[in-house]
Amino acid sequence: MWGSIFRRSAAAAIVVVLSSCKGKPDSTPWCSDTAADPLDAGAPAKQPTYFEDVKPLIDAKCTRCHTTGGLAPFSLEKWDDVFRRLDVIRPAIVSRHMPPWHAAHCCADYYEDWSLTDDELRLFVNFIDGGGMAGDSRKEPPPMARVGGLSRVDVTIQPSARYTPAPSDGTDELRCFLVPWPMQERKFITGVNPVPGVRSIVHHLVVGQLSGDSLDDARGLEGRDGRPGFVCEDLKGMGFRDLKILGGGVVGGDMPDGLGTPVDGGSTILLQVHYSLANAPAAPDQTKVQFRVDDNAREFKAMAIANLGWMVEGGMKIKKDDHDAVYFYKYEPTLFTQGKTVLVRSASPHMHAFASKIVLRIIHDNGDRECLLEIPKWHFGWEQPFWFAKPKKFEKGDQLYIECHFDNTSGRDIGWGNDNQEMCAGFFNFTEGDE
Amino acid sequence: MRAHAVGVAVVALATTGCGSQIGFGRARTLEPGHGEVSGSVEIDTVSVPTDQAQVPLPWVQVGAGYRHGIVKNFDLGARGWAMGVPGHFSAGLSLESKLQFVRSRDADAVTGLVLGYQHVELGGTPWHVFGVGVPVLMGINFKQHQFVIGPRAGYLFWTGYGMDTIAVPFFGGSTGVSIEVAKRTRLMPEVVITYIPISFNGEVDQDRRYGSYQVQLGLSLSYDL
Repeated sequence: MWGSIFRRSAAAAIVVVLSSCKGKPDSTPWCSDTAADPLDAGAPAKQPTYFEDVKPLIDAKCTRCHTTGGLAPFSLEKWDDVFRRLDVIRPAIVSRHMPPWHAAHCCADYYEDWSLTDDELRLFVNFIDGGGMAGDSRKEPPPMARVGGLSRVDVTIQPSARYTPAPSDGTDELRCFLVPWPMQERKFITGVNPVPGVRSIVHHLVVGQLSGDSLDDARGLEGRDGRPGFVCEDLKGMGFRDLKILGGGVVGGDMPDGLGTPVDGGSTILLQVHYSLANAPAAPDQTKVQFRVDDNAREFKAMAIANLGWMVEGGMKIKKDDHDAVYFYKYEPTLFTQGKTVLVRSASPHMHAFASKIVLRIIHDNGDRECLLEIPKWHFGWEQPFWFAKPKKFEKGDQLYIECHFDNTSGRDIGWGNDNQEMCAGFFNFTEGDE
Repeated sequence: MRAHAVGVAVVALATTGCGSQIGFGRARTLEPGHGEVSGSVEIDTVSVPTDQAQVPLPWVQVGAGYRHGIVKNFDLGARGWAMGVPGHFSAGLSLESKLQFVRSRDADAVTGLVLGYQHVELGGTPWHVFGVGVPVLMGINFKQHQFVIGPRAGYLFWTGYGMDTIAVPFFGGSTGVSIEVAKRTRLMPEVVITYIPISFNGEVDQDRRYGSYQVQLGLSLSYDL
C-alpha cells in the first residue's frame, strides 16, 4: 500500500512540477475588453420610431428567422409583434445574444455580418427606451437588403423521417442520416444554410459527401436500432476518412468571392446532427439543410487548430467550480498549407455548454498579432462559420492561435468530449496563393 | 486525410513516451573502464485507440548511444534517437543505468533505471514527454551470443503549451538476440511491445477509448571500444 501511495504521490508531484510547462496564454489584450460601450453615446437628437428607423433594421437583420413559421419562436414582421415584445428584445440585443452573431466587431470585418452595428444598436435601444413609438408609416424608407442567409435556395435536403434523440448515456447524441443528393451532375455548393427542426435541441450539424467503404458501412448501419439514421460513433472513424465536409454549424449563408466546394452528381450526403438535451427535452426533429448551387466556383480547403493532447484524458481537465479555466494552443499548420502562402477565408469556433469565450488569432512570423475571431460571450448552440470581408494573408512561419475560456458550473471535473464535456477547436477555410 | 494521418502519428509519437526502447542491449554490464558505442535503426508501429488509427502506422527512427562500465556489475549509458519530416520532428534522449544481479556462464540478469525525454514538435510548438522506466533484462547465453527477454514498466509525463500534464503508466517487454558477429561487434535484432493504458476522449465510442500499443522492430549494432 505504501508503495502505491509513494508512486502516486511521486507522480502527482511531477505533474505539479511540470504544470509550469503549460505556459501562459498569449498576452495580447482582447479587443472586446476595451471596446467602448455603444450605449454610452447618450440620447439621440431625434427620437427613433418604428416605421422610420427600426423596421428597416428588423427586416434586414431579424425577420430571416423571426417570421411566421420561421426558425425563431415568434415573428417580428409587424408593428404589434415588435411592440409587445420590447421588454424581451432590449436585453437580447444589448447582450448581443440577438441577432445571433457573436463575433466582436473590433476583431475583424466579416462578410454578411447580420449583427447590429453600434449605431444600429444605439438606435434600437433609444427607440425602446423612448417608449417604442410607431411613427408615421408613410415615412418608412425603402427596405434594406436582407443580410445573411442564402441569396437563393437551389437544393434542400432532410432525413426521410423525424427523429427523437435518445442518448444512450448522458445528454448528447450524435445522430447520422444518409440523404441522397438530388442533382446528377457535378456542381459547386456556394452557400449552406442549416435549418434546425427543433432549435432547442440541435447544437450543431456537420454535412458532407460520404463515399467509399464508409458509405457502404453507413448503409449497413442505417435503421439497425429500429430508428431513423444511426449512431455516428458506430461508423468506423465517424466516416471522416471518406467524408468531404460541405458545411456545418447551425446558421449559414452564401460563401463570398465566388467560393464553393464541389459535390458529385448522384452522391450521398451524410448529415450528422449533434443533439443536446442539456437544456431542453427530447422532441421529434427533422433538421433540413439548404444549399445554393452553381456550375462553377473557386475551391477552398480546410484546416483546423486544437491541441491533440487535450483529447487524451488528463490533457484538458477543467476543474469543478473553476469559473475561468483557460486552454490555449498555437502551431503552424504546414500539414494543411504545405508551408505556402494562403488566404484564410473563414473561421469557425467550436466549444460546448460550459465555454465562456474564445479568440482565434494569427501570430505572424514577425510577432505581430492579427485577430481572426473574438467571441466575448459564448452562446452554446449558435455555431457558424464567419467569412472574412477581406481574407487574411497567412504566410510561412505564421502560426494559428486559439484560446478558450470555460466556466465550469457542472459540479464535476470535465474534460474533452461530448456528453456535457467540453471542446476547444477552430476550423478555417483557406485558398492557396495570396490573391 | 494526410494531415489527419500525420496528426495521429504525432499523437502516437507523444504517447510512446520514452520513445525508442531499442538499444538497451544485452543482459550484461560492461567491465569497469570499458566503453561501447552503438547505433540502431527501428521501425515503429502504433495503435492509437481511435478508429482512424486501427491501421498500423509505421515510421522509421534512428538512434545512437554510448555506454561505459563504471564499477563491476554497473554501467551507465546514454542514447539519442530522432525522426522527422519537414516542419515536424521528434527526438529523444535517455540516460540509462544497468545493474547486474545475476552473472554466470549460462545466464545473466540486469535491471536499471531509465530516464527519458522525448521532444515532439508540430508546427513550431513542442510537446515534452518525460519518462521513467525500470527494465529487467534476463539473458540466456549460448556460444558467444545471448537470448534476451526484458519486461519493463514505467511512467510517462506528457506536457506542453496550453495543456494539462498527463501522467500515465506503461508496461511492456522485449525479446531479442545479441549476436556476436565479429570480435567486439554485436548485432541485436529485437522487438519491443509497449502498452500504455491511455484514455482518449472525444468523438470515439466509449469501448474504444482505452489503450495504446506500440511495437518497435529494431536492429542495433554495438562495438566495444
